[in-house]
Amino acid sequence: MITERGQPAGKAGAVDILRWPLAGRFLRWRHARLALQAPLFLLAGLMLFDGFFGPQLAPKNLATVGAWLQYRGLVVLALLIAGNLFCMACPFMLPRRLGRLIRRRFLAGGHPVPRALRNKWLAVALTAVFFYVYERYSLWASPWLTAWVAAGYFLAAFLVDTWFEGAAFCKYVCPLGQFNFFGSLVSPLEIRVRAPSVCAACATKDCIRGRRVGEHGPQASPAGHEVRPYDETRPEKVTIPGCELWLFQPAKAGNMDCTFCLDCVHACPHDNIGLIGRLPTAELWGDPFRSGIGRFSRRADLAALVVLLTFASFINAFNMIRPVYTLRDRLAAALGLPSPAPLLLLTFVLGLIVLPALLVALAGWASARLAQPHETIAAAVQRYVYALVPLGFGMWVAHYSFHFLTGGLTIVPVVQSFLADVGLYGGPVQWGLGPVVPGAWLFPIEAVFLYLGATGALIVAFQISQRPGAGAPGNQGRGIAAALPWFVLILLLLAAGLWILVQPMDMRGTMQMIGLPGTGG
Amino acid sequence: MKFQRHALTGLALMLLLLFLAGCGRIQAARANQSSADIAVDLQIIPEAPATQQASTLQISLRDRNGGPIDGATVTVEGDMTHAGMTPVLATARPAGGGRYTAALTWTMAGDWQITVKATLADGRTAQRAFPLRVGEGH
Repeated sequence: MITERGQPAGKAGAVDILRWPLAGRFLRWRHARLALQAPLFLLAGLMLFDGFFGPQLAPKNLATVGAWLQYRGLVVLALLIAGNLFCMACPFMLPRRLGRLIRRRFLAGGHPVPRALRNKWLAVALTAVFFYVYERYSLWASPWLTAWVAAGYFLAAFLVDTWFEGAAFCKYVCPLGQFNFFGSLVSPLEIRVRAPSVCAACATKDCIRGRRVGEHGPQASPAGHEVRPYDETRPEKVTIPGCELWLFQPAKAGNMDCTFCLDCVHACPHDNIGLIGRLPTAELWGDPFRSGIGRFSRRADLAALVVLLTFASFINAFNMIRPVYTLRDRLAAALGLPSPAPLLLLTFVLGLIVLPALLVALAGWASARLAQPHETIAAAVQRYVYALVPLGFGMWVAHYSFHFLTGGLTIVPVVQSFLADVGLYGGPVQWGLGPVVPGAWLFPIEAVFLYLGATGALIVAFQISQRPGAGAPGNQGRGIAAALPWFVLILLLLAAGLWILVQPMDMRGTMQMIGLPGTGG
Repeated sequence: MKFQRHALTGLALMLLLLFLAGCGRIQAARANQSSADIAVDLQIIPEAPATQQASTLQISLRDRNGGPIDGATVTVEGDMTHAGMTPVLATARPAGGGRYTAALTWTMAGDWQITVKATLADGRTAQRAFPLRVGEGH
């Protein structure tokens, strides 16, 4: 049974990572996030440096290997087995601390995000542009451009979060964050309250307001340390922030917009928030009111984000297969185009806008007719579209795991090469290292992820059809019938995904990448 | 708060140290630049290489006067332009007249960069990269 808040009821025995002896103790430590961000920040610095000044060949550069291979492979793995761990350790948020200082001293505090921008539309547009730019300029093949993208990210996060209050960059802008929110909708862990009754009795609501250490008198913090006795003559300046994405814990449901920053955990004076296990996809079955978000069924921007990220998972892989390259080259030649670039743009317009709109609208139209006669297409779409999340994420996992499993070990020789160049390594660079698994295992692994995603999608569509209001009252059959068009769409996308995965891949980059400084070409 | 200040200061210092150490990466890159007196050319047979088919690489080394350079150690490295792909390597055999030959088998279709590195008997080095597109073999 799913409660109104979308949380499984009666889950007294659920796993709670924050209660584990080592991991839990570490995560309950106030500076856990900083401890995770610091090494990633250093890694990002190294990647930036190597991207700008190192060898400009993608397989030999920390920027490209780190970003397009290691990060993408590990982030989907983390989302699959845990949750939004990358956002928890996000290095782009570290310079924000300096931004806050600037904001306090020179900008008289942060500015609220304009109401017109308090949605995902900007993030949807930026994410679509990012996917296009990635293909158009072959970012995977260019350490230099990859470094510029990362540098731009740091700058954008710094500027947005210095000017605006809260975590505006995470919530309304960051394409990486939107991808992580999307994937975390099917993750097995969620930050949520342990006992709602404790929150009901809480008068201070520190989880969202934040608190000063010692504010509640000489009592232990959840971690049992870092507390100084409360002194009225010397008020503590230390503040533990509350949730900056406006997710009020008692009313929070699910992982959308949750960066796993753990501010709420550290701020809660009652130690009533955990990192709790749940059934993957279960948060998509219901449509509760979610703090800081509202109801999914009333958020057209969220529906658009889901559609974009689902179809982008197919287009991203589609653009790497040989039949597509061959077709584009021939069309470009036939049309007398100087390059296939206009056709790439056409692919994106068709694949990310026209085709998704048509397919989703068609499924929504059929669904609306099969359910309540008076349901609009928009209402049907905004109810069922979230069933696509597991399938879209499954396709992303299949694709990114292919690259990671094909070349995940190349990080070893790249690091050896870097250390050798700086005089810290004198042994042979093992350029022969690459695949993590035998080549024959790749397609079966990819297929498993895709099938799991499709199965999850079918389950979500079915569960949505059973939701109160999904069919005519007391008529369960009409509810299931309304899900049928979505079953068909899911199976069509599954077939398309399998076809894409069996096609030969062409690892192409723009040939003019060779000839940039440092390539020697 | 104090802990955070110390941690962030330490982080900034470590980043600076890493950047300074990384300067060695730039130095190493500069050291690999080739002598302008040596011309390196490459011919690939067949002209349209494909996977699952061995290609013969014919390298030519010439001095500034166009004269052949013999006695060099010539290596060939093929790298795809996509991160995560392992390179293919070969050492070329001298064929006389400033020519050297090597054989490579391409592991995947797509864009490659072939880097020819030559170390002459007198210690001078030469390096040149050549872009290449490999098709799908049958």
